[in-house]
Amino acid sequence: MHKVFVLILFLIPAAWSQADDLRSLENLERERARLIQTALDPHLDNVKRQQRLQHQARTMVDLERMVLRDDRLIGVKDPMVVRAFKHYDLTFMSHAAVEARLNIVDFWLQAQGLTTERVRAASVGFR
Amino acid sequence: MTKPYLTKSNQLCAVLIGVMLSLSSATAFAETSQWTPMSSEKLIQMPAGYLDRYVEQDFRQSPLGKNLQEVDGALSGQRSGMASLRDSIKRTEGEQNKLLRYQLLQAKSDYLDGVEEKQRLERMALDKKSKVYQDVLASILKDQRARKDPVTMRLVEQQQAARDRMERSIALVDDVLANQSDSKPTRYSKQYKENLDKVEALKTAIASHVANASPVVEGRDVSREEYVRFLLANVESERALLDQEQLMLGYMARLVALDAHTLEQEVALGLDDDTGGEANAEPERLAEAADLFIE
Repeated sequence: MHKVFVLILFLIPAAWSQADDLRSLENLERERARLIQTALDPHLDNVKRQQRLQHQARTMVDLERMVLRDDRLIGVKDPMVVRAFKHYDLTFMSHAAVEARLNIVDFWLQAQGLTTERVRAASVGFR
Repeated sequence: MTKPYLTKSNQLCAVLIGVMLSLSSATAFAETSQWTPMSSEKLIQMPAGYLDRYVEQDFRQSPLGKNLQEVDGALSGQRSGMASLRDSIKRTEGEQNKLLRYQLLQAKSDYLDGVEEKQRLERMALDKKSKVYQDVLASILKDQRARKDPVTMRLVEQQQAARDRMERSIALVDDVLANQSDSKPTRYSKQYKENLDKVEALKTAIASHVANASPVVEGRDVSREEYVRFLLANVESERALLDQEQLMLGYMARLVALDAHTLEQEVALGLDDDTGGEANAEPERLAEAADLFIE
């Protein structure tokens, strides 16, 4: 127990020191989550949702470019960084969506395997 | 009449003992000189060709470096003083000559003490320099190992591929954004484009800057790692020369001790010409005094 406590004491400063280096990626992840939240928010009407999504997608473009141009992330083996660059399409959604000629939300749904056909073919039941 | 140099016989013994003690007593000097070199993390970020100059400048500005300069200056003064004493000895004779020889012995003893102190400080500085270069070399090797790590290599490849992919799609994404009805370029995208040309110009200037050039050893461009190894080898050779100088110091101290011993013997046994008259005087004979009794 004592050893675990000492280990945590050593790990906490290390985690703090790394937090600054990943700021650009953390900002991108936060905005990406907000965009998906907007896309799935049942309380928004379509017009408002589109307006917000358009604005957020624009912000995402800038944030994605900031991350991709951030030299501080080069070679950083943090799981967050490794995962982000392993899945380009999901991390840099706005760029990947334009490449695929799709709306950003459609592109995300497709990346998750949620197509209209699959939704229609789904049946309600207990897993 | 008692001669002045005879009273100094005890002092000569003190010089003799002092020289003997100076050979072994490294702890006799107070540990007042310090130098805390720059960290290897800072040094590793500096241009390799300037690494030793930074270390040297840092050392010269430290209390240890200043102390060493002071000791060096004092030794230079002592040496010229000894040279003038030696010249004076050649021009004098008798009592004055012995006095000057005694002074020269004392000056030599002081000089050797100073040299020993200088060597102690130099050794301390060399040990620290060696530690600094070893740390820098360890950091370089650690960076190299980290870069060669398979996970890191794969990640860097993915990051480079992601950058290339983004660069290819930038124009397309900008077109799509420009076609949106209420679209205005963001502050980031505007300023980034404005700064980009300047950033490229700065990068080119940095790449061609003389301070960023590869370090040169014997007219050959070498890597940062090779250069640090070269500096480390230089420190080791300086340390080896210092060992040799320490041997010389030992021999010089022994010579001073022998000189002091000789002078002490001369004073104690009265081997000087001036004092020889008294020492070699004929003993008084009873037959010569007998005439006084006959009359």
